Amino acid sequence: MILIAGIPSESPVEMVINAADKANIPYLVLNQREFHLYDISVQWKDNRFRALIKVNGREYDLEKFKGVYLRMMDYLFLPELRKNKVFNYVGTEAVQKSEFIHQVFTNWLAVTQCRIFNRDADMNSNFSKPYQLQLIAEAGFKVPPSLITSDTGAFNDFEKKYPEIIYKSISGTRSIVNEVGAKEKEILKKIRYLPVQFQKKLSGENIRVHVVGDVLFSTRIISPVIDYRYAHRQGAESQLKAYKLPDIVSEKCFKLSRKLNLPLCGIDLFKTTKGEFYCFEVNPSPAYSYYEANTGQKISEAIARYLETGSAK
Amino acid sequence: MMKILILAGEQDRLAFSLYEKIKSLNFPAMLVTNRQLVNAKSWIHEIDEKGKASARITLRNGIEINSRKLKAVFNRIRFFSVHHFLNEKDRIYAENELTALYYSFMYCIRLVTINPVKTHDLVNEQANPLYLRQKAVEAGFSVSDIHFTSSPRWQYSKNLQPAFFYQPTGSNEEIASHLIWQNRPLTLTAQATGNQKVWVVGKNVMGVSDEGIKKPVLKLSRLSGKMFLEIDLSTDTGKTVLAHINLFPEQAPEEITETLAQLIIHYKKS
Repeated sequence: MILIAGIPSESPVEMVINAADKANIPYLVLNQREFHLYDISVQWKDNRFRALIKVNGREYDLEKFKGVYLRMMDYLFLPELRKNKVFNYVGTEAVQKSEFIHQVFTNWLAVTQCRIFNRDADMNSNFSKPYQLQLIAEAGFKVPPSLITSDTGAFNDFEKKYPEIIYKSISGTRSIVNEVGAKEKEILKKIRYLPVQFQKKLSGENIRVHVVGDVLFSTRIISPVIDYRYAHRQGAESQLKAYKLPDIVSEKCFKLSRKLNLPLCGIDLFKTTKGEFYCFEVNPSPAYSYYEANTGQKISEAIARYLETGSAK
Repeated sequence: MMKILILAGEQDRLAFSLYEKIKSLNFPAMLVTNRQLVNAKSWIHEIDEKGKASARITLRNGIEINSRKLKAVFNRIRFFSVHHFLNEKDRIYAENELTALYYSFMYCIRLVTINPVKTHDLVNEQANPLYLRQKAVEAGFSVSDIHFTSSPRWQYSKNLQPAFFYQPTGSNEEIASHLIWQNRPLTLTAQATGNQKVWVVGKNVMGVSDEGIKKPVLKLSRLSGKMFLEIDLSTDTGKTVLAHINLFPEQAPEEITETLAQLIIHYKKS
């Protein structure tokens, strides 16, 4: 049996639920918005721990689940727990209970031996993009030359080496990748207030790889804009097609997934016009549903299978 | 000239004592605070396409931190406050950006850092009582029992006490009866007594002479990947149990600071 924790109506969660149904894999859904209706008991006794959860009156031994798919949001932002959201607000006692259950559940996730997509501590490598780039390079990938700076002189030197440059945020806060143009150069001196990440702009196409344990799915993205995720904002469309990676690149993807201890991850590759593969970042909680919906690749089935059996094949 | 670098908050007494100690031994050292880093004149952090990284930070007072010219680093910084962004959303964003940059800088100098930081540390695993117990048992410690229950009416441990700041009066039966009736989420723990502090500084265990305790303490240091630790031990039903791990003790006896200074001075790049 597998455990699926998150908001059931969110596409990546919904798809895993449907995939588990289709494959007759038993599962339990923990809906974050209903945590205040559950009960949890985790105890450490006689040098071992015992963890139970009660959902709809039925008890489950958490340690008996074979795998856990996590797609949880920060519980502080759940509308049910926010007093100003009068319609959904569940009241003070229920809020305390939901917070307690979130905290204890998270503590249990850190120590359980079940297969987990993915552990909190391991997901944090994505918090710092340049930190992650160094790890990516250790796995054998080329990474785009990067400069993080608050110094306009350093930027000018970088621009002499790489005339075409993009900029993006340093932390995991979702940012849109943009090219440094005339407008940006006019306000360049503002970087003295806060360093910005600049990278050499590469020519080629985006390849997105989803690693699910021991299988991977590769998708080629054809898009006229730099950041294909926001093509619609610029009135453009992106096309997604299944793509066969060279074996050597596939091997590096598996190696990277193991190195970061992220058995489920979305790896952003870039294939240059010269045929070289660069890696930009690794997403530890990929919104794979977008790629599955556009290509038919059965990523959700692989997730459910891996969590239940230990192999996605 | 290769320097020793100590990174700390402005109120960090231990870091300042350590810095003074190293200087008194005539080793070139600098102490840089998180505020100095936030207000630095410039940050230049580069990563080439093979992932090779370097960093140069120039502070307002003209001092430069060059990643290629560091002999040893001891880090005590955990967060940044960015005062010059008045808008709350911008300030939170700026703090995240600086923290992310800091982790990348720390990774590029990890080989000379006594207590290297990883983004794993953002989760603060040591604060998780279950994680603490799991690691303690792996190291060979005994640990005290603990029970988290969202419904005492459903699951309750009568042999444990509620972990409140105040201790409720009445017999154990009366207290249990009341808590079960209230049915609110509860943490129950064993009544451990006493508090003994032990420090790990490299391969030295200080604050205890019992070899039976030194061995698991050293193993715990190895398992957690930290060369400097403060550990709290208690007694539960006659057994010594691990109560708490502190990676950033606020103060320590002078002999700890001296031993730490020696560790840093003689640290060899790994």
